[in-house]
Amino acid sequence: MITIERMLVDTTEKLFKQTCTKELINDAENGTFPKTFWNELDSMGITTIGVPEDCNGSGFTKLDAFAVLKIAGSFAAPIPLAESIIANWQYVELGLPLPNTKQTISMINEDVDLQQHSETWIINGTFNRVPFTQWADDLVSPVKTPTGKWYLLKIPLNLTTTVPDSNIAGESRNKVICKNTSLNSSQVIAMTPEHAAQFIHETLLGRTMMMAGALQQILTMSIHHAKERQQFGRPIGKFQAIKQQLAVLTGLATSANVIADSAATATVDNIQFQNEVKIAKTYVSQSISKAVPIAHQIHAAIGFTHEHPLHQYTRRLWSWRDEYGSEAFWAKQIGENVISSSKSLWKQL
Amino acid sequence: MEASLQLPVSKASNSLTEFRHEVRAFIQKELDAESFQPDCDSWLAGFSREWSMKMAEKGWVGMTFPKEYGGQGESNLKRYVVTEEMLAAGAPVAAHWIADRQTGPLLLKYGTEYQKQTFLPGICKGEVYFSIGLSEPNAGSDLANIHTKAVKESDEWLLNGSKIWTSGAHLQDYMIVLCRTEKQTEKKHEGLSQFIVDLRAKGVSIRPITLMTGEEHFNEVFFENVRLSDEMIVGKLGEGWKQGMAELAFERSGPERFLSTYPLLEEMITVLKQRADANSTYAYTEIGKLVATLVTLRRMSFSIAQLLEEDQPASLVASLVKDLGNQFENTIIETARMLIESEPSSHSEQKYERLLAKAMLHSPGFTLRGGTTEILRSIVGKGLGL
Repeated sequence: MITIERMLVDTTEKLFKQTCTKELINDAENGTFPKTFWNELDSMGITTIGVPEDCNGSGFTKLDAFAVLKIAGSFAAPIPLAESIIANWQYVELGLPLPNTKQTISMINEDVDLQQHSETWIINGTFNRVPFTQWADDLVSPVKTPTGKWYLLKIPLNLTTTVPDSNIAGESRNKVICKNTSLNSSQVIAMTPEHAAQFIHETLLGRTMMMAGALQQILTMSIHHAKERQQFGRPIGKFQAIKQQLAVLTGLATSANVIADSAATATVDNIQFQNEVKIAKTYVSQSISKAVPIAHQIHAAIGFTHEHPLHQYTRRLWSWRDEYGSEAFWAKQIGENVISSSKSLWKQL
Repeated sequence: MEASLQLPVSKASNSLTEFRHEVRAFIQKELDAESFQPDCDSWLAGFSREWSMKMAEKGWVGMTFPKEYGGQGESNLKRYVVTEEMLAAGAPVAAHWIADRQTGPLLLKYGTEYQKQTFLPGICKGEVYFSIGLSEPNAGSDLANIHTKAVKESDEWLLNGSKIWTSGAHLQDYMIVLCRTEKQTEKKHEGLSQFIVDLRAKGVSIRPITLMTGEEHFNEVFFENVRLSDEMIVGKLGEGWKQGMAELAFERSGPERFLSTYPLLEEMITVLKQRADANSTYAYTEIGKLVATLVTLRRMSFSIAQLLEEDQPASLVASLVKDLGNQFENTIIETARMLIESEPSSHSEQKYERLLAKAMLHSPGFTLRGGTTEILRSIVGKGLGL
């Protein structure tokens, strides 16, 4: 079995703790790219984690990368880290050199028109809700043509028009419009449907790991608050009503982390990985509708302020649970597969 | 996150998966021969001496016990697979359930050589059954407040008092009774001891308690000057509380804490497969959510089994599994109602309606037995250092 590189996780966690402060997150929301933080992560090799060293990556495994993304989520890191790491994996797996530029990704696009004219390709279409385009150089996305062929596009963002938008955590989620955007053959790479599926599920799991990390963080903050905050002459955590709520939150955060980790350790087998990722995204997204209200209820009014950092996590959780498909979207697929199979549910598990 | 709540994920090995197929094949054969009817809550209500002996013939009762006592010396993970497959199939495993899960491991850890040789081989043959003697009329969640006591008179102990809510005591052979052997002091967890009591001994009387379902599983068991020898003390005198609590991680994290209504889920899917109009987005989504929760609970429960196999503490995460698992058992019932238009009926010709009725009528027990939800959450709260 593959295990997580403990030292890498500890070092990364330390860096995030020191650098990814409340102020840095607020500044990012106001439009300032945390350049020093990013460069530090880059120089540590965090952005190429899971890419073999002989391909100019920093080595380690994808499992390690997912563990790092959980840390990023637990510090509400306002950077395109998941996007860069996953784009880099695709480059290497398709035999392309690693770019020196910053990448963002879009998960799936079936209504983008792709025309080949000898050596050039003309792209027309819209990519919706793409993270952090203003801080990235390229948009990487798998695109399926009407004939069922898959291509990985690497679109220089300066060739596109972007319409700014954001999620409710203030992370940019922009519309990228390609109008007769011309790409050369090194920017349009044929890929197998399996590769495309892998890209999609890795993207999904990246967000799921971040949610698991943020859930851990709101649990930690809630426990801390319940021990510190005094009412009626004692810490509120001494009251049964609060204890019971915290126990429920603990159950949600722990179970979400178990299923996210379980998906991350399944990276070896493709089919099993994809099933486990869909299940993880469904379960973790679903747990947020119960977990976030508890964290806010325990924090009470102070957690409703901008001053307190709780909202940096809860706004992200509310955003991330719907990104790349909510629990309703993925549960429908899981349920349809189960019901349409000729096997009993138990034998499908 | 608190270290005690971290749960490293474990995955089944290939040989374990092969073993699972072996168990499945056995169950399928029995299903084909109609030797049992799949039912909900079968680990509480499905008492079948024949079935327990059949499983014992395969070496699947007391399978973790050492060979010298009739067991197979197998891992907890293999036992996990057997219990999970049995519960998913709704097989009648209630007779040996407590002996296999709790009494055997208790005796192996604390019992004397005499006790091990006397009781374990019978458990492994699927012939000797135990029940749990914990709750009393005035000691439910406040378990340490029990009043049943054993007093030493010359070379024997005299047991007096009563136990309540003991499942299957009228059908079982022995009970592990937690009782007071010293006067209660400020420290009420001290001075408690565990005895093995023959349920057919003189002075033991058993009164069935009819459940709200009309079934009789519960009992009140009275002890009137029941004579016990020193040989029947389990472990150390006065250490009964600690010994009993050590086993709770096994009790609370097992698949019986989330699979009690699984046969209903399986039947619900069977019905949906046959009804074109039921295959709506709503049905797909609700089933998908249940499946996602089920898979998550299985990963948690299996990972805890691995921790227990490595002798690592897991009582906190075990409490979480029970709480989440019980919620899931109840969600299956409510989802079934929303997806399939029907009425629960214990005597319906429809298997689905019978299972729905059984699951619903048994549901109040899920969040009570083995520690109420409130007690579990208090334990977790304590573990968080509140």
